[in-house]
Parts: sequence; C-alpha cells; structure tokens
Amino acid sequence: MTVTRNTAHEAVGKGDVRVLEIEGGWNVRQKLNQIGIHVGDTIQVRRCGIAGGPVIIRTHGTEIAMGRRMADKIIIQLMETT
Amino acid sequence: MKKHCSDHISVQKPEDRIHLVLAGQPNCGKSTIFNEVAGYRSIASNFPGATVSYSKGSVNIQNQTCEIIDLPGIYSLTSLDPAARESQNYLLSKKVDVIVNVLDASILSRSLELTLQLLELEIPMVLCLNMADEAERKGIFINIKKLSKKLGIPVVNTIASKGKGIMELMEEALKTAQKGETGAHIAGNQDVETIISQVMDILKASPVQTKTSPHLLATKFLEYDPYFESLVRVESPSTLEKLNGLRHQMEEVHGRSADEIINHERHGLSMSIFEEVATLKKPRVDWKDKADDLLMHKVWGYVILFGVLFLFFYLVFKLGALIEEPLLATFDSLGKALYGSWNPDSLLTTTVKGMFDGISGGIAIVIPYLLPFLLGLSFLEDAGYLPRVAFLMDSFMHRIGLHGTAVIPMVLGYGCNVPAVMAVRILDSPRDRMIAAFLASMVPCAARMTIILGLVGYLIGGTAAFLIYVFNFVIIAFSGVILSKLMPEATPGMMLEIPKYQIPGVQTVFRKTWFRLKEFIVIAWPLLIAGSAILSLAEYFNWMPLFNRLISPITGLLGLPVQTGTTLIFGVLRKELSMLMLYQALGTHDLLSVLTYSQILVFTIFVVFYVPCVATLGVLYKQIRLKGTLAVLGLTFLLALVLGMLTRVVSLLFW
Repeated sequence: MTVTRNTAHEAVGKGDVRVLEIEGGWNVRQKLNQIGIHVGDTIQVRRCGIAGGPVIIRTHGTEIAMGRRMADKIIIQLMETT
Repeated sequence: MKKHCSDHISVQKPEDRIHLVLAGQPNCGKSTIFNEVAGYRSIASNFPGATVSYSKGSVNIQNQTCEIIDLPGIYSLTSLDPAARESQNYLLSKKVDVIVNVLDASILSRSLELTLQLLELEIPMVLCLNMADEAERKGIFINIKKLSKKLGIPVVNTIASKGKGIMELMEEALKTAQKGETGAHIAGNQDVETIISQVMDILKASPVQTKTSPHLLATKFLEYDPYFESLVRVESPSTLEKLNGLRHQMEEVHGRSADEIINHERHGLSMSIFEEVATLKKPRVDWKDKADDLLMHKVWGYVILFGVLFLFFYLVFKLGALIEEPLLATFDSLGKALYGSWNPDSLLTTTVKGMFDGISGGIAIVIPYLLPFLLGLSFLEDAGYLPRVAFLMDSFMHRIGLHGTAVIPMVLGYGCNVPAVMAVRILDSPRDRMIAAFLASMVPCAARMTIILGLVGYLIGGTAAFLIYVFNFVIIAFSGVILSKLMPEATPGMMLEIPKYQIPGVQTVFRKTWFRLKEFIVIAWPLLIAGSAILSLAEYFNWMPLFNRLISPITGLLGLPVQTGTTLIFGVLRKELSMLMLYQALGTHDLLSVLTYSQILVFTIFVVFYVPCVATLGVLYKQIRLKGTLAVLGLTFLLALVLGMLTRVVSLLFW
C-alpha cells in the first residue's frame, strides 16, 4: 500500500485521518502540539472556509479553527477504506 | 470576641495572605469560577509592559481571607505568546501558595499536558475537573480517585456554570496550601529521563541560580524555550555550551529535534494517564453537534450571520430609543429643578449646567444604547457564537491584513469605540493589536450614527446615509490594506478553539456586562463630564470666535462656514456634540437655509473620519501607547481632510 500524503484541507469530510508530519519550525510545532495536534494523532478535518478561509480540525474531543497556511503544514494520510 | 476576630483578619496584609492561582487552558471555565468566588470585588490588573491582563480578587474560605488570581488561559508553559509568557512569569516569580489547575473534563487528554508541566513547578496543586456533565455527554467517564492517586494531588469535580462544587474546590485548595504538599513526579521514558537528569546535574554544578524547579528548567531547556535558554545564557555561557552538546547528542540518537522528543513524551504520558482513568462510552448526539452544519455553512452561515447582526443592531437601537426619551425628559425636569431658579448668567450656573449635561448625557444618551449592546454581546459571546463569526470572516479579514479574530473588535466598534479598542487585547501580536485598534477607532459608533442619520439621513435621504456607511466600510478596508503594507509581518494566522454552544447563564451575562459597563463609567464618563463643562465655560467666556479663527484654515479647505469650527473642536470631546452644536453655532434649526447639500455631506464625512473622541483616545493610549495613539490622531485627521475635500469636489458635480 502506498502512503498518500495530503495537506489538511484536502481531507475535508473524509473522516478520520492520521497526522504523518508537521512541516515548519519550532513555532509551528509548538503551536500545533499545544492545541492537541501531534504526529501520529488521528484527527478529523470538519470543514473549510470559503475563499482560502480557515480549516476546522477536530482533535481530542475539541474543534480548532486555524488559518489555511497553518493547516497546510499538517501533512496527513487518508485512511483507505478498500 | 467575634468582632475582634474579624478585625484581626482585616489587619493581615494582602501579601501575607494565602495566594490561590487559577491556571488552565483557554475556555476551561477558569474565569467563571473566578467570578463565582471573587465576583464584583475583583479588579483587572495589567501585567507591566504587556496588555495581557489577569484578574485579582479576594475570597473568604473558612473564615480566612485569601487572594485569588486568575491568569490568562495558556496551553503550555512554553513562552510562545505574550499571555503564556506572562502567566509563566507569574508562576515562576510571584507568591503562589497553591495552583488550582482548572481543566475541561471533556478535553482531558489534551489538558493533562499542561497539568504535567504545572506539576514540574513543584508547587502545591489542586486539580479542578470542570464540566464533567459535558464530558459524560461526550461519553467520557473519569475515575477521580484513580486520577488523584496517579497525579498525587486532590481532584475536585465542578460544574462552574451552575456553581456546583466550587466551595468544595476552594476548601480543598486552602487545605493543600496549608499542608504545602506537592504532587507526584511522573517519570516518562527511561532514556529521556536520563538525559533530563544529566541536564539537571550540569545545571546543579553550574553557577546558574534559579528559583525554578531544576526539572522544569531542564525540560524547557531541551524544548528550546527561549526564556529558559536565555536564563542559562545570561548566567553562564559555558554551561549553555555543555548543555547544547547534550541536547545535540539526544537529537542524534532519536533522529529528530529535542523539542519534538519532549513533546512526544509528554503527549504519550497524558494519553496513557487518560486511558488509565477514563472509560469511553458512546457519545450522545444532540443539536449542538448539528448546529454548526448550518451556522458555519458556506452560504447559510453568512445569511444567518448577517441576519443575527441586523437583528442585534435593530434591537439595540429600538430598545435604546425606547429608554432614551423618558430618561432625557426626566433629566430635563431634574435640571430645571436644580438650577432653574438660579441666575442663568452666573459662572456657577454655567459650570453646573455643563457638568449636569455631561452626567445626563452619559446616562440618558450613551447608556441606553450601550447597555443593551453589551448585554447582547455578552450573550453572543457566552453562547459561543463569536468564534464562529471569526471563522466566517477570516478570509475577508486576511484581505485587510488581519485575521478572523479581529472581526470582534470591529463589530463592537459600531456600538462604541471604547469597548472596541479594549477588545483588541484578544489578538496575539502587537502589530495586529495596533492595526485592529486603528481600524476599530474608525468604525462609526452610535454617536457618529446619530450624526449620519440626523444630518445626511434626515436632510438628504436614507440612501445617502446608507452610502456613507458603505463608504466608511470601504475606507476602513482600504486603510487596513495600507496599514498592513506599512507593517508587513507574517501574522501567525488564526488559531482559535471553537467552543461548544451553550445556553448562557443569566448571572454570568449580567456580570460580564457590568464589568464592561464599568469600563465606560470609569474612563469615558468623567471625560464626557469634563468636556461638557469646558464647553459651557467656553460659551460663558465667549471663546467661540477665537476657536473659529483657529480652525478657519480647515473649514476654509472644506468650504464650510467659519462658525462650524467650534463644533469640530468639541466633537473631539463627544462626537454627537458636533451636530448638537451645529444648530447653536449657525443660529438656526433650519440647516438647509444656511448650508448646501454639498456642505452637509462634507461636514458629515469629515466628522465621521476625523480623530476619535477623547474617551477612545484614552483607551487607545492604554492599548497601543503614545506612539500608536499619535499615529491614529495624525493619520485619521489627514484622512478626514482629504476625504472631506474630495467630497467637496465630487459633490459639486452633482449639485
């Protein structure tokens, strides 16, 4: 099975996805870790704002809205249902 | 005997009292707990040099007066943003007898990461498991005994919004503070712990002196926390070198950066504690889960947003007008009763009348609109709607160089600029606060609305009044673009937790409203009274011609009658004065007999855009300091002048 790498906003409505990697430096890692997004976590991308708007991610029982640029630093793997 | 006892307590100096510090992640209900116990007696204090504020109050627990401090919500002890830095600073350097770590039980696994860091501070601590009802709705059942045993600290269940368990929590906190027992040391992975203890050994042998617990200092150093790194660098550069070597070695072994290793470790620990103490069942689904499909919908979300805003402002103005009229009438007769029989030409009567006008203006003109506005706002806020607004407006706000969160002060501005400017403190970066405060001060507040409606709306037409709002909106957006070009900085982007919807508690809504109303009463109202008195005195001493001559270059450029000069000066004190005084200055109530349509339009445009009122300047100074305030003053004045002249030229084409 090949591992597909997608950015977070490509996973809207796709159900559970796994965080493969967090791109970017110390600041981005800290920010995302603090709010509950870590490499290896299972998250859901709930919705996506219009015109490059923010992305809403559900993680550890809470929902976080974050700017598209930040969200796209989260590299995720879609779970294959086949 | 009893009296003696209470005397004894009041003699005790505040700094000798037991200090309870509330710490927790944003939205965990910390402030609700604080308000419940400290209530109206609390004061908001500012951290020196930053606009992040914490609240302080006192609480009586078992006949003992304790100081209670509500720190801003933080996700971790790493100093990533100003709020976290200041909270961290407080915990490290101030008197803290017991930490009350509040956490949202429904997000237990994430919240525990902060708890683990707080435990490292080695300060006595109590865990407050808030919103247990919400957790159970989500299917999370927590075994308190197990959790308490695991962490080595007392755990108390509360439902803060209903006031449940709070007294018990306070009593437990006091007991823990008196015992002075700290929690358990929770060890992680063996090889990470080995590195941490090696770092601790080096620190112990080094000249680095710190009040911080060595374990916390070690982990935060490994995490590249700038604050702790500089602590070591300042005290002993050679130690820093040694530690850097150790950190590098750790990164070699694990194949990733040290902060990732530590964070991963902490995350793993909280997850394993969570799994140990919580049992998961099927969550109950209710309307709260479905509501967002509609309220944050790509189309319906916006339709509802505008509907809500329209209804909100409509109700505020309807309600305001309903209260304003009888109040004005009451004050009118009150005033007559007070100085009606006095000599109308004496200095005393003039001063008293001026001050009385200021007092009554505050109560009868401002508060009728401000009160329903603040009530409505607190309601929307507590219901959890504002973060959704931020989500919906984010991409638009990005066009003007800010992000979604900044929409909140903007919306507030339509009521009154004072709370709007105060609200910029919710933004992270100083640059964002600067731009948002600038733009918020340009939003036409209720006072400017009376001018737009009273002059343009009444004399020229409703469409023209509406167009002024649209024009103002365009100019604000444009200014935002320019300001963000002048201050380019990659904003970190929005990062906002979307809280669950809830039915706001009547008490909390009223308390919040009161806190905000108090800000108006303390800052804006005295200025209004003073301004009003000065105005009367100016009239008494016949300073008007002098003022008019001073302003004549401006009125000349705008093509307005010289007499309007004074109204422009006094508009700075109270925006609506510009219009009220216009009748007086021109000596007629039939403005169209002395002013052309073009002049009315120019006057209104100028008044809408030129410098914010004194009260707004006061809060601007508090938020963006002198330099920022002067920039707002100068730039808005220039902008108003240019727009006024432009209006003059363009309107000549029509009339």
